[in-house]
Amino acid sequence: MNSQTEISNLKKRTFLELNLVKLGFYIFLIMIFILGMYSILSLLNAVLAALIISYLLNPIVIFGERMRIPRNYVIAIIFITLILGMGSLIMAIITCFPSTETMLMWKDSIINALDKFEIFLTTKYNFVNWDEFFKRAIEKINESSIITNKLPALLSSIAGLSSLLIIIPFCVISFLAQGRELKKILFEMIPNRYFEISIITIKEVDNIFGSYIRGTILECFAIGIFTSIGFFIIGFPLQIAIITGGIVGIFNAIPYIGPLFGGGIGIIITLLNIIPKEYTSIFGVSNSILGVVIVIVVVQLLDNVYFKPSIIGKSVNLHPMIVLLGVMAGSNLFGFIGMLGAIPVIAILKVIIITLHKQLKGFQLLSDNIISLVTKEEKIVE
Amino acid sequence: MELSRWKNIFKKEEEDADIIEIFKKVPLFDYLNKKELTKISHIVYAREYKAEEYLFKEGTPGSALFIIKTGNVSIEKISENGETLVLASISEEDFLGELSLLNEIPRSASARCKTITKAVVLFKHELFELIKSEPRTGIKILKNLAMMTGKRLVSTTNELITCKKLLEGSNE
Repeated sequence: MNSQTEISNLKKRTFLELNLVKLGFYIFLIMIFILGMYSILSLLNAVLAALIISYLLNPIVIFGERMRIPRNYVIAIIFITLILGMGSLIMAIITCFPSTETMLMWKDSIINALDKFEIFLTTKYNFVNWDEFFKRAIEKINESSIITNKLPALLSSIAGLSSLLIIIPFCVISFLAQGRELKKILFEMIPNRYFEISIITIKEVDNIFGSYIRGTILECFAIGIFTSIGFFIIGFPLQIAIITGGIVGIFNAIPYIGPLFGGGIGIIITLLNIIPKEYTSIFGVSNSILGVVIVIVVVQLLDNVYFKPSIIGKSVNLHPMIVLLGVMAGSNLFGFIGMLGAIPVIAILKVIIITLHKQLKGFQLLSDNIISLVTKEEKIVE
Repeated sequence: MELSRWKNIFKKEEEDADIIEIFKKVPLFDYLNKKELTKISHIVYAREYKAEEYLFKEGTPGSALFIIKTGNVSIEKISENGETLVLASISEEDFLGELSLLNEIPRSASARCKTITKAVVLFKHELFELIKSEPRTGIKILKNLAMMTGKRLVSTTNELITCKKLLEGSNE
């Protein structure tokens, strides 16, 4: 009797000890995880960027594999192309980038235009203190010209970010090369009950969102090229046409509002008289605003009639109201990046919610009648 | 100590080899060479289930095929009056849920583990991606799948005939 209680006590103790060891081990793991996270916190952005880039590049790797090229070779080819492409793009931007003198000239013409505008406003609507407003605007412009004066210094500080330039490609290569195994390990950690539903949901979200985001990037690229060509035709000098076209293309990622911004930028550039007179061929200086509007409208028509239906399709439809509110919220929170990122984030949330709801219902995890489900399960166990 | 450490390092490869060995015995992968089996082993997931745990439940959307590595699974259906009917029992090297690879119909029965069960899971979308990238392998798998389905259909028809005969006999 006595020995039996002793044994049971011993059992209890070992049980407790084992659990303590288990608990200690998990705490140890969590601490290491937190420490690791904390130490790479500053690099988190780089890792996140690498994740997004590899997510976008992954279809190319899959396509290459389908063409019977080994995965590692495809990754190598992508990287060499990317490095060459980036290099030539940077060279193009540097050569396209206006010299300091032209920048100063632009600055003067911007300030001139603002002065004229101020006089116009104060004579017509003198109940507002325009002086204060314009002073601030001109101060801002002066500040920005300081940056342009120090362009070489700026470039060298970008080179100072070389650690990022090493980390991002390194992470992208690892994600592309080992992503599949990494994904498999993560997926195998999902509990049995939620395994099938998780994989199906992730796959479906990936399908819809992936095609949406890749389509958007392709669309922006096309818009950028076509707008540049349009601006060049109406008489913008090549470098300005490429820069403005590129900006319009990037802005196009923001639905509804983007094209307006793009048109605005084009109009501002024509208003500033920074385009030398000999370039304005078709419309003449006074009518070049009309030219900009026509280019933007034609490209938008092309976008809505051809690009959008053929590239993106109707994978993610967002209500215009939600788009507007989302873009505003994004710009409030994170500025320009927030404006650009708001729509993809809202799109992925929408896809996740809809898919998860569908799957949860299908797998009877979201039943209206939870009691009946429980009794049904009990019956099965019996 | 030294040995176990090395064992851990090679565990992943061992598991892969294990999976390929199982594949060789599964009729679904007949006529596939080792290279093709290795490719398939990359797209499947290894799972372990406790006794009484479900592989899948009746009525849920099915999208995966389960190959049993070790253990025993019973296929069950709940009848209208709430009784559990055991339709079949599936053990090592057999597979279940193959119909979900072909169509979108919800699972027609539940699969419950009778013992601790190790299974290999192949998802429909992964298989179809493989068919796209490796059509030769894909055709072999689809052919085997069609043959298996045909065989099971024949056996079901035979059972139905027996049942009908029994029913007619009892009526007389």
